[in-house]
Amino acid sequence: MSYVAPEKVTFKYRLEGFEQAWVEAGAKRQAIYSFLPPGHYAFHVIAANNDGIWNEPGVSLPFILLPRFWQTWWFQFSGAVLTVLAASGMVWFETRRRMRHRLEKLERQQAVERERARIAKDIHDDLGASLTHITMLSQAPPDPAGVPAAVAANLDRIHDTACELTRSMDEIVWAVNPQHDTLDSLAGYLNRFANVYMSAAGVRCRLDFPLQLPARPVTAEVRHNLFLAFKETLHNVASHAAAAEVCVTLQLEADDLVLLVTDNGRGFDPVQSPAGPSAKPDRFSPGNGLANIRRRLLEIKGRCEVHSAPGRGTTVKFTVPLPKFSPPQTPNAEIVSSLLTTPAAPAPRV
Amino acid sequence: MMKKPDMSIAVSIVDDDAPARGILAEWVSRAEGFHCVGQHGSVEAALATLPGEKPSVVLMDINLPGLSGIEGVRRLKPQLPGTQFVMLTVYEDADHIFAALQAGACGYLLKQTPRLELLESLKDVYNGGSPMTSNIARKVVQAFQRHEPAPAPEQPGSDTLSPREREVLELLARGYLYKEIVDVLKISRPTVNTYIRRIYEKLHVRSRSQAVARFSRFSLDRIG
Repeated sequence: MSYVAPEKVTFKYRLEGFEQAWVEAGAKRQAIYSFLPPGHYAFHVIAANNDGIWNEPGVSLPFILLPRFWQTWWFQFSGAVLTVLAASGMVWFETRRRMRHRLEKLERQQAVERERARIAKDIHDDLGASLTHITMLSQAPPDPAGVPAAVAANLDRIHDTACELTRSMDEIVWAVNPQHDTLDSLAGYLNRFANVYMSAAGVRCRLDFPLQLPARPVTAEVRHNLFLAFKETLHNVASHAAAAEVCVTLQLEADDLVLLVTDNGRGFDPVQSPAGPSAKPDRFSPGNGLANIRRRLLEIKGRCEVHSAPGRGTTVKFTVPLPKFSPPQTPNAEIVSSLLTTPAAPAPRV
Repeated sequence: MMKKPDMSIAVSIVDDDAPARGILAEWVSRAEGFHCVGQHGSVEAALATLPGEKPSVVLMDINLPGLSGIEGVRRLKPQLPGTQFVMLTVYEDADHIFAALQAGACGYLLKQTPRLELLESLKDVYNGGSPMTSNIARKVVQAFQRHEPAPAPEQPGSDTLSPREREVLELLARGYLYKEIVDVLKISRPTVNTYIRRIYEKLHVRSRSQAVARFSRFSLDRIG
């Protein structure tokens, strides 16, 4: 110790249990430690006098820093346990909520499907039978001699109207019945309609449909709108195109359904036609047929492209996005179809 | 199937819709070359008495309460192998029509078909014709492709299509009309009819042998 020049005395200190090296404190007489974890410590100080001679043994002060209650192991442990419990509880609750949500959605969907099936059945059974009677009774009698011409003409008209009504109802029943919410049913329906309609119109019809289509759901809305757009397109071909042949192609491109209607008729100029003297609602001029078709495709988030040139025929291309394949949508149908297909596997040789 | 062309065609009708059944019976009775041998309101009733009537053609409604018309054909056809079953339907439900063809029917008619056209179709069926539309042809092709390993190896060829039959079927599925097939394949109209008939018969045989295979597999599974 030196009292000669106390301002020249320098210090070094070290906190045992916290650091290994000595801290040069200079002439400062303060040591500050913040954030010391709880534990056993010993504070050592050595000093050097104005001649620079160190007092090696120095002095030391042992002390114990007691933990605060939140620094105790049992508090931290139970805290961790509680956090884990709370987190897993939230996950469990959320999963349950989602499952219940999905179940409710499925139930709602099934309720809607049941209702659709019922409506389809009612239309079929009640209206269908009476309409059939009308079409049968309104046909020209086998001995037309005794029937006045006016009555016969009216009868014909009644018959045609009833037939037309039956066809419209067929379309509605097909669209409404959830049993037909498949790509294959859609393909079959378009196929048959094109075949029957074009052969009645006297236009050769060629169909190129894939034989196997993936089991993807197609909503009634998509089926109905696409069918009506298709029907209108074929109507245009039959009544305006003067075509000898129409070719209908259905294909899948990624997640899109693509339907092509190509005829070899007289075609038209897509640029001039709308700009020209379009006082008369022409074939694909704005406002009429094509606008209708476009609107229908727009409703189902699809699009319609028309390519044509005078004398070169016309191609109408429908592109409709299909919903992503979602297996849980019709679990019952899945089970049924798997039940139906399993026994059809190669039969055992007995 | 050599029947005298001047022979009257015996028709039996199965339909639960009494007024429609009555009108059909009247049309058939009054038309030249036809006579109506029976009317039945259900398949159950027809099973009892229809075989005794020995009809040449049966008009069978698809949608019937109780046993469906499809089931009716399945049960009646083995008893009446020479009889042609034509399905009647208000709506062209391809699945039902196809099931009826598998059961042994040889065609279908819409109920709103005009009288003369209907009689003409019946005459055509009686004379060996077999109508098939493009979407039904497509379904038939699917059915023959789906179970390519033929389930009946002991009788080869009995339920697989010949190349010519396949060709006719594929043309039909692509929208060709019968008269266009006649032109393309350079065969006669009756030959086309024969091919279609055979396709229907094979479809029927195939669905039957598949039902048997399914049954034997099922019982084998049961036995263990």
